[in-house]
Amino acid sequence: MGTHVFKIARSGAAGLGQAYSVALEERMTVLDALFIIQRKQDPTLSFRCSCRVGMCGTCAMSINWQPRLACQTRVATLESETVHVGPLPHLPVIKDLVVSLEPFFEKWKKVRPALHAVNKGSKSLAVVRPDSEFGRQAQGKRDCITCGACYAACGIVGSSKRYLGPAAINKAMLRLLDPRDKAVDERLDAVDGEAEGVWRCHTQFNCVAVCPKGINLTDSIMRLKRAMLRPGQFHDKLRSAGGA
Amino acid sequence: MTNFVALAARKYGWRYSGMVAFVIQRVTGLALLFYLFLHVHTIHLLREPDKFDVALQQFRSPVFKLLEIGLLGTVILHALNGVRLTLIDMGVGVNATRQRQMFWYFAVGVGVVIFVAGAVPILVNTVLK
Repeated sequence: MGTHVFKIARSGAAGLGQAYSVALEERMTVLDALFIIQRKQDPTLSFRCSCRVGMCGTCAMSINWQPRLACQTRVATLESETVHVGPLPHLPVIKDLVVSLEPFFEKWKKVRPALHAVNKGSKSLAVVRPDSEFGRQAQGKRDCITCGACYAACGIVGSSKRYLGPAAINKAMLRLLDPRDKAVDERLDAVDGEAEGVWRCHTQFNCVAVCPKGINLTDSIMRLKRAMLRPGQFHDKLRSAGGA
Repeated sequence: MTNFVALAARKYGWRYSGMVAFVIQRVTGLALLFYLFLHVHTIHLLREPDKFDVALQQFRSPVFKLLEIGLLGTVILHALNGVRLTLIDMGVGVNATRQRQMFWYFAVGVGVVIFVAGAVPILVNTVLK
């Protein structure tokens, strides 16, 4: 299978990173290669991972300058004998490939991601039928694993520290359109800002290009933009649900 | 040895079409803004008929005609990509593949056809004459 050179960004090291040679095995992922390097060549190498099956989003990192999940990226598919691995951009580096997701989750919290139920005391299940209007709009948008890949790829996040980022706006869109949720005004305040809200998106589609779950985040932002031209509709859902 | 630039262009050029389109829109927009100021400022300075005639004679020179062809390309690319962005704002083609097609096939592809149709007559009738 041949030997590949992994150039890994190390904290405090200059240049494009420290080079390690790894003999490629069949179906080897970048995460496998990082484990081999850590166990056999350099035990000081730091990276983060958890589930190893693309469910948790913990191992998101920059691989050949593109945010990806290391556990889901097979080395052979990169078509490059040299693999550049670095921490996610736009996030503070803790050590080597480990970044702090604090800025990402600070913005995530701003849109109030939890469900604020209209009928909080109700004992019956609030079912969202897939063929309902919200069910159709939310299809494929609920799979976010908060890996931060979209946040790291977004050019607007890179140029504006206040911009909420695609993942948080997608979550806000889901909650605002959700007929079971009542925290409309708080979320509208969060996503309506000129500098931090939906209007800052320039439809670069970088978030869509890198999302490991294939979520069409730009579509969420554009849907929310169009919906916010008539913000009363979010209150309509409350009236029809008997919540306001 | 893999040429990383060639690999990036082949493997990621299509994937990041939206970013390419964004950068092109910004660059052409700023170029047109610069041209607009230059144009208005130049016309503003040419108040006397004699000076105006001399300036117009200079603008008919091959160098200015080549610049005019460049202006034509900039306007076409900015306008067609602007149509693409307007469609996206309206909810048309807001998915990864469709927006790439709209950029490469519509903004660039159709743009090249219009550009050639406009640039060739300018080139033949002025620069090459």
